[in-house]
Amino acid sequence: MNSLFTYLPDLEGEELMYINTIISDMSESQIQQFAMMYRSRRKEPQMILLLTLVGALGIAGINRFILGQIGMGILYLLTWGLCGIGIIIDLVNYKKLTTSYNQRQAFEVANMMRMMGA
Amino acid sequence: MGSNLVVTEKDSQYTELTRFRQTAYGIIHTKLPAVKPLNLLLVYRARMKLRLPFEAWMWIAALLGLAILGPWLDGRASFCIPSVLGSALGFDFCWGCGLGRSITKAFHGDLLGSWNDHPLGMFAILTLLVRIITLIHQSLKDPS
Repeated sequence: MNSLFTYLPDLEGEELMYINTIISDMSESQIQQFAMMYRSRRKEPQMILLLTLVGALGIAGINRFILGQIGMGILYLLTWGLCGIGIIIDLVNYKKLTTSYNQRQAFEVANMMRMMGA
Repeated sequence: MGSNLVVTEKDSQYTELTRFRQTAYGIIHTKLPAVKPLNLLLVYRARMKLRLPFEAWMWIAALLGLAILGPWLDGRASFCIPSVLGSALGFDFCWGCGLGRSITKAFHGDLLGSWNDHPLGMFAILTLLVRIITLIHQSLKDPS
């Protein structure tokens, strides 16, 4: 728990909970490695919010591209975020979008480490 | 002898009634036969407990609303926020306009009209369906 805060100090809420469950059976060095790999893949919710606001100016959908949703990104880009509706949804929902993306990345990193270790 | 007979008659009536009740109870409460798609759907519903994320509800509502209410809404309401804001602020351009009508026409089978209103109507339906299915899958994998 303490070591987690030294490596990933900016976690909070739901993210902190699932990271805790993932690293619960890891050793200290494994936690360090996990934290490094997770940090490089993690996306900041604030960045997604800013990109959504950029979308309100006309270039919508960058946030969806960055979160790996190519189809939604193309749709947003070519329709100005579904005529503004999608942008509002993303403004409300940016935290959940980022958290679910980060969660998937965390599980992927943990799986990768398990495969490399075995 | 006689009293015995009466008792058994009553008994049989009673058992018939209970049997009937039991079968009725059984019909209502029995587990459904192992039809794979139906079972899958029921498992989905039971595990989902209608705890889909906000985004999924929004897309489902949008698609259903456009499919069902679309013909009625046509000409009565505009959901295009850029063009509504634009008409207030004095500019008028939005490359998303016509998408709602396009989706409605695609749902009602008028593919050519859909393409003419907005070329991306059918693409939008497909993408949103994929997104909804992805969201349902995620919420089934880890309900949070």
